[in-house]
Amino acid sequence: MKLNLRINPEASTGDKCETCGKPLTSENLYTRRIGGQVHYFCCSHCADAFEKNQHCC
Amino acid sequence: MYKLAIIGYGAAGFAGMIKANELGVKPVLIGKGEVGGTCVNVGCVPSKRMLHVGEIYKVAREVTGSEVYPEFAAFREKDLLVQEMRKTKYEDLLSYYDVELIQGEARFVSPHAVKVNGKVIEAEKFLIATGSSPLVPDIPGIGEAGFWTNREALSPDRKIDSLVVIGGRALALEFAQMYRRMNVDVAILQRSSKLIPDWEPEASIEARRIMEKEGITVVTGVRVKEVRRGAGKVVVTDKGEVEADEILLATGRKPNVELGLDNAGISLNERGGIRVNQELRTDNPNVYAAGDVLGGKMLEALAGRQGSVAVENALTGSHKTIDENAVPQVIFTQPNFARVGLTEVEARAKEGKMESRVLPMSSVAKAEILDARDGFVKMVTLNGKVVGVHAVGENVAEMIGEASLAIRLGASVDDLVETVHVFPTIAESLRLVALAFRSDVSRLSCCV
Repeated sequence: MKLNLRINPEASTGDKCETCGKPLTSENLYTRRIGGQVHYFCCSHCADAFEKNQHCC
Repeated sequence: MYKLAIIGYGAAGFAGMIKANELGVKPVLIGKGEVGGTCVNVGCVPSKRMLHVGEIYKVAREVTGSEVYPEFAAFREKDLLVQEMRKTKYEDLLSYYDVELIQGEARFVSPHAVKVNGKVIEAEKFLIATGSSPLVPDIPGIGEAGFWTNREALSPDRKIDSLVVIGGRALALEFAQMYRRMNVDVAILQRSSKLIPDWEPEASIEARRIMEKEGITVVTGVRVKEVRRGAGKVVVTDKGEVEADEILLATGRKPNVELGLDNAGISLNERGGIRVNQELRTDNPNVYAAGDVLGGKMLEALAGRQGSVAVENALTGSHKTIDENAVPQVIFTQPNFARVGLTEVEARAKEGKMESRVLPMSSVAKAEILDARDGFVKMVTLNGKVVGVHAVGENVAEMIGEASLAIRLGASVDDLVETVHVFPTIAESLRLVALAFRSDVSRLSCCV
């Protein structure tokens, strides 16, 4: 049988910037360890924004 | 009483046996199942052969423009290679070396004795090298529905048209590509948010892109809830269902530790493997352990080295250790993934000035020549010394040994820059990424 995918691949958390959702490649990738975990961003500005959000509350 | 008993006759056990002979000791070698262990029988050798078959057919499709794929008979043909290598690299050696072979299951009955086939065997020293087995996660319904591990996937009992791979690390990637290149529909279901999550982030990103480019469906951040039978086998997740002819479990391996270890005063570590110190000695001062059974990095070459070092330490008290930081690791997809040493995040946590550079493979002349521009090479340094190299690209497995040597010898970026490499080679990318610490490589002519 052919693969029967009753799942939305878009539901996958995917390889996107965790702040702005921009698709990530090995060339635009920027990572930062925040709260003991490595987070994926497209630039340092998005990482700053993410980190600020983590601390704001 | 024997001087040395080795339990297990895979890579670590054989390396230990050879080292014992070098030191003038005839060991007793106790094992069960096929001689040679996982690597030659159901691991590296057959899987790399099948990946190679897939590479050949990919070229054939590109050259001829026709949809040619390998027949499943290729799985049987690879058995000839396995038989030949098992014979020449393992079985024949048993008569070449001075060793007593006992086939059977060993259980410790005291700190200095094991029982095999009802017979008690005493030895002054032991090496445990019993390897590992596929880890089958506790998924409701998986037993009833049936599944494959690497063993069945390398010797399929029938032709399949679709495959769900549960897992997203080395084994998952290799088998996903292997089956996709046999014209099988493949989906990868990975619990983590990234494929190969413990590799450099750039490699994780490339892994997904390369798998998807092959036509493999990749779903990450997904939890498998149950498996049931439908028209095929249905994997039910928290994000929906996938149905396919077969399921491959690529969810890791567990150390083979059912050896009556309590009777020998040997404890396990947090990974479920045998606890050893830097010299590979267990809690029992006369028992050493090596290879997959430690539950650490499960790599053939590392197992062999550990087997050799453990036996030398056991027999001579030489206190040798292995620099695990210089142990390379490869995923043999096309392109390869290869790494050695620290990741950027790991290096940043150390004292000193951490720097890193990433060079796209498209900047490497040989990659352009081969029309294989996918990937990159990344170098991580600490105070100017190379501490990590991570690469994705055509045949990067062949160059990672040089990076290991650089790390082991404490080479600097300048050491690599000043070492003339052959042009054009993929190995040259190691020098080019080192050059990237000093200049803009994209603005350099060839052979600078």
